[in-house]
Amino acid sequence: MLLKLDFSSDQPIYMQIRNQMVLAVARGELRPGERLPTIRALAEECGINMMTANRAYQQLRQEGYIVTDRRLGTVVASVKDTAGPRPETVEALRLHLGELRLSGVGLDEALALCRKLYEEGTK
Amino acid sequence: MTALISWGMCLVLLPVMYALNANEAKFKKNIVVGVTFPRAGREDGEVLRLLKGFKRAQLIVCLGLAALAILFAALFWPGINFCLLFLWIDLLILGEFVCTARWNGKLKAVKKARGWAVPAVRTASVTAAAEPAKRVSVWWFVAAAVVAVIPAVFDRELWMLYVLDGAMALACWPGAKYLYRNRAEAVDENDAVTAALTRVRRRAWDRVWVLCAWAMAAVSVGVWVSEALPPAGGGAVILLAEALALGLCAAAVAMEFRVRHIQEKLTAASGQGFYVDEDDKWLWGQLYFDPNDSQTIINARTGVNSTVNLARPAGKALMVFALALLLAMPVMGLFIDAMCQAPLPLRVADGVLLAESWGKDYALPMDEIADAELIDELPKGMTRVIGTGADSILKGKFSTPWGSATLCLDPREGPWLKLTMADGALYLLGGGQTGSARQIYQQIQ
Repeated sequence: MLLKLDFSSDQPIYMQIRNQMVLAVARGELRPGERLPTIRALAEECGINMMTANRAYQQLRQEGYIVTDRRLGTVVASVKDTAGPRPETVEALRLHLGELRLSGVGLDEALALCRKLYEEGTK
Repeated sequence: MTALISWGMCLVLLPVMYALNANEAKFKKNIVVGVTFPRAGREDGEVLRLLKGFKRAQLIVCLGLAALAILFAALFWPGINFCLLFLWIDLLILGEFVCTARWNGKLKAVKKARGWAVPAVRTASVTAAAEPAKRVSVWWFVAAAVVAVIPAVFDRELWMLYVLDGAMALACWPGAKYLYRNRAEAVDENDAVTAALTRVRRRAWDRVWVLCAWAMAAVSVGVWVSEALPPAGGGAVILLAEALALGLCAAAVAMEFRVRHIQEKLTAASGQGFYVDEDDKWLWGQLYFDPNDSQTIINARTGVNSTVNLARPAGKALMVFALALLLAMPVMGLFIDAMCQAPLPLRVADGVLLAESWGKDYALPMDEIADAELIDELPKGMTRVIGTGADSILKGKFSTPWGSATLCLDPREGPWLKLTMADGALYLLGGGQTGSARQIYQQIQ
C-alpha cells in the first residue's frame, strides 16, 4: 500500500495518512490482522516527525481501524459489520451530499455515484 | 616515478567514472540523468537523442581530463605536482557535475514540453515499512576489527597502525547502520517490486560496508606478516595485502553496478499509470533539497549510495564541509609538495643526532649508535610499510633487505647513513644536496 502525501495541501499530513489508510482498509489493500509499520518506521518512511505519525495512528486507533498489540505491534483491526456508521461519518456524508445537490447533481445520479464509489472500496 | 604512478591511478579512475556516469543514461526506476519519465519517455525520439548527447558529453569530459592528466604528468612540475593532482580531482568532480546538470536541465525541458511533469507528492510504502529490516550483523565488523587488531599483540612497534585499522573496521558498522535511510524503494504501486528493490539495495549497502571493514583487516594483517617475514617475502605480502584491499574496493564498485542493473531490470515495465516522481526535490538531478523531509541522510535515487538533504541544517553543514575539503585539497597539495622538496638535514646537538623533516623529527642519542656505515647506493627491493614514499623523500617504516628499517632520506642523491642502534633498530638517513651524512659519519667515527 502506497501513501501519497501532499505537503502543499491544506489537509494536515496526519489526516492524509489516516484517510488513505482507511480507504486502503476499505479496498482490502490492508487486511485485518496485517502488521503496520512502527511509528518510527512510518515517520522515517514518510520523512515526517514521529509526533505526526503517532497522531495518525492515535486517530486510527480511536476510530477502531487499527489496534496495538504488545506482541504483534500495530495491526489492522477486524472491522465489525454490525458496528454501523460513526456519527462523524454520517455528518461528513450529509455535507458531501449537500455539496452534490448544490452542484446540480440529482438524487439518482448521486446514488449511482455513491454505488460506484462504494463498490470501488469493496474490490 | 611517484608522480607517474599517481597520474596513472587517476587515469585508471577515469573509465570507472565514465562507466558510472554513462550508466545514468539507462532507465532505472523510470529515472534517467536525474529526470523521471513515464513509459512513453523511453521511446521518445528527443529523449533518446539527448541521452546519446549526454553519453558523448561524458566521454568528452573524460577524454579532456585524461589529456590534462597526461599533460600535467608529461610536463612534471616537481614543485606543484600534488597541487596539480588534487586540482585535477576537483576538476573531475566539477566537470561531471556540470555535465550532468546541463543534460538534466535539457531533459527536464523536454519532460515539461510533453506535459509529463506532475505535481510533487511524497510517496511512502506502508507495506514495505512494516517489513522488519534485516540488517547485517555487527559481528561481521567486530570480527574484522579483531583480525585487524590482533597483530598489535605481536608487533608492538606498529601497534597504533593496527589499532587504527581496527577502529576503522569497527566504524564501518555505524556507517552501515546510520548512513542509510530506511525508506522503501517505491517506483509505483507494485508492492512486490518495491519490496525486492528495497531488499536488494539494503543488502548491497550492508555488504559494501562489510567489504570496507575487511579491507582494513587485510591491510593490517598484510603489514604485520610483511614485518615478520624476510624482506623479499615481506614486500610481496604488502603488495598482496594492498591488492586484496584494492580488490575489495573494486568489489564495492561492482556492487554498485549490480544494484543498478537489478534496478533497471525490475523496473523495466514500470512507468504506466501511477509512478513515483520526485524530480522537484532534486536540484540539477543531483542534490536533494526538501524542507518537508525530516531526514538528513537520503538514499541516492539509483544505485546504492547515500546523500544528504540540503534543506536540513546538518545536511548543509556536511555539504559545506565536503566543499571546503575539495577546495582545500590543492592547497594541501602545495604543502605536500613543499614537504617533498624540503631538504633533510642531519645535525648533532647535545649528543643527539637529529634527522629533521616536515611533520616528524628523528632523534637518536649518539651513545646508543652501535654501528655506523656510509653507503653510496640504496638497496633494491625496499618496500614502504607505513610512511611517505615520494621521488624526493622516503620517510617512515620500510621493509629492506637488511630487515625492517626506519627511513628519513632523500633517495635521489647519496651518500646515506646506515645506523644500527644498541637495541638493534636500523635507521637509514640523509641524502640530498646537503651532504651532511658524510660529516655526521666522520663525527660518529
